[in-house]
Amino acid sequence: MPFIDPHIHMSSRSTDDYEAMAKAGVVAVIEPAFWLGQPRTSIGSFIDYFNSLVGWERFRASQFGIQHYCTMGLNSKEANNEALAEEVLDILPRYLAKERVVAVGEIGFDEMTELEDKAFRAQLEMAKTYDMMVMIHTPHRNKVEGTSRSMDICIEHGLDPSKVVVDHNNEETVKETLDRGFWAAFTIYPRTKMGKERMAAVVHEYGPERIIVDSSADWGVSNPLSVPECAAVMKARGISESDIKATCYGNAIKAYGQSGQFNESDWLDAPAIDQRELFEGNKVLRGQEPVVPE
Amino acid sequence: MKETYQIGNLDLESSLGEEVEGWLGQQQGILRENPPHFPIAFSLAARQRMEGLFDGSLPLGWTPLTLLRAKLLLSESVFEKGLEWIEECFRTADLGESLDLYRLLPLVESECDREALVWRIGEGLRTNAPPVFEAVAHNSALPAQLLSEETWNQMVLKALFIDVSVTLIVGWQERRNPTLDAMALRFASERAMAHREIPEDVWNLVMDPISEKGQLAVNHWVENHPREHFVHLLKTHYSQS
Repeated sequence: MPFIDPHIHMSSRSTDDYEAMAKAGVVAVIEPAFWLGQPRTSIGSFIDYFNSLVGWERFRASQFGIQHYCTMGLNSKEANNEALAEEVLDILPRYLAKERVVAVGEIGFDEMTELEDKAFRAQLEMAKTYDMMVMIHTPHRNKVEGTSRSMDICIEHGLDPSKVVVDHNNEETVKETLDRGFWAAFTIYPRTKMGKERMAAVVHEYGPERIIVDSSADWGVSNPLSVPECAAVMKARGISESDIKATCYGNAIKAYGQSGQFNESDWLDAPAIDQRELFEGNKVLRGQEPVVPE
Repeated sequence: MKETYQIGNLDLESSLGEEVEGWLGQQQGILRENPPHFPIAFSLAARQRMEGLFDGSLPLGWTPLTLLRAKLLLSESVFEKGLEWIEECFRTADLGESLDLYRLLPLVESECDREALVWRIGEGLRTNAPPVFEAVAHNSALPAQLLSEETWNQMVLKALFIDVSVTLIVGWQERRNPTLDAMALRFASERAMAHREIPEDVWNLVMDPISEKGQLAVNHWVENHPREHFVHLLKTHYSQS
């Protein structure tokens, strides 16, 4: 079965991960712009990071037969540096307009400060201006309130819930998210928060409609194979093949396909992998035999 | 003046179809009031559907998207500072955008600071990414027109090194020089020593030595390398001698 991981920070992962993901059936990934584990201190760092999401990382993924897309946004933590945040918001529209940028994201709340609120609203307005999808990061602390409030603000700004993916849901937030017409994404973490068994129970209870599974794997302890592994657990718990395909593949296409930048034909008709290709003169290989088309 | 712009046989006024031209007109309206919108318009161009809308012939490497971006660049209030806006786009460009930015440099040549243009061409040639190098070096009159002999020679040698065609560089025959011949032959020697293939363009470059010194260098090379390294050369030029 093919899989999509619609939220994973590949820049912080190794080529071993790409190899394992491709082997497990992952055909496409969406990499949301986020923070680097520590705050950036200048606009140049943001520009170079954004450039890498539409440049080197896209090429690196293609070398393993995986299609790479991204979302662009100012994350909630770094929204708290007001002067720098303004510079980022100034430059952001340039990136929203680029090919394979499928949404504004991940944006939303961390500590629910006034500055986070301001940056969130400014970016929702950009999503309207450029007719884009939105990917919302819901806070790890105070989750229920933060999730409700994020959706309230989207509605207040006139966004259509069918164009907004609310991520990092759990059993306490899923009902409201679905009832209000938003997409409900779930991050499967290796130990804490949402797990595979709990995910299977959610799909069992709510059905597959508008539910999306992802890994959010990054530089922390996380699992880039969360989506295929979760699919296996769902299968073992008696969830139907079509419901698994919807939550681990099809719904991501339905949601992000609305951007016009995320098309199944991109990977179905993709050229065969050729690791001899160079990007900026760099190969991903270090002396191994390249994989080339037959 | 800009209305008469042509690249090769391509008239830049050629239509891209009603819908795209409509979008272009709207963007030009925004740019007239607000030139800093240019980098956004340049990116947004990729979101216009253009398959099958243009049936004319395009310069080597160009796509209908390049043509649309050229039209944006020629917009009133953008064009007079063309290179400055191109540089602004380079700051945040993805790979595909970089290629088009390099392809559009010949358009702004007459309007811009020569030193800044030479720097940008040099920057493009410093890349090791073959597509970027080709966008700068191929099918453009600028390198032959603007580069010093030293930079020119480095460009041609690098084309050999990264396996990019030399014969698609405009002026590659006219700007040959004894130093470049010697560099090409030294490159061929290094490849021969490493038991690696020697690109055919080496022989295209040194085929008819342009000086007595060049002829001696070629003769010396042929005498000192195994036959298989210069089969192409032997077949054509030296087979009778």
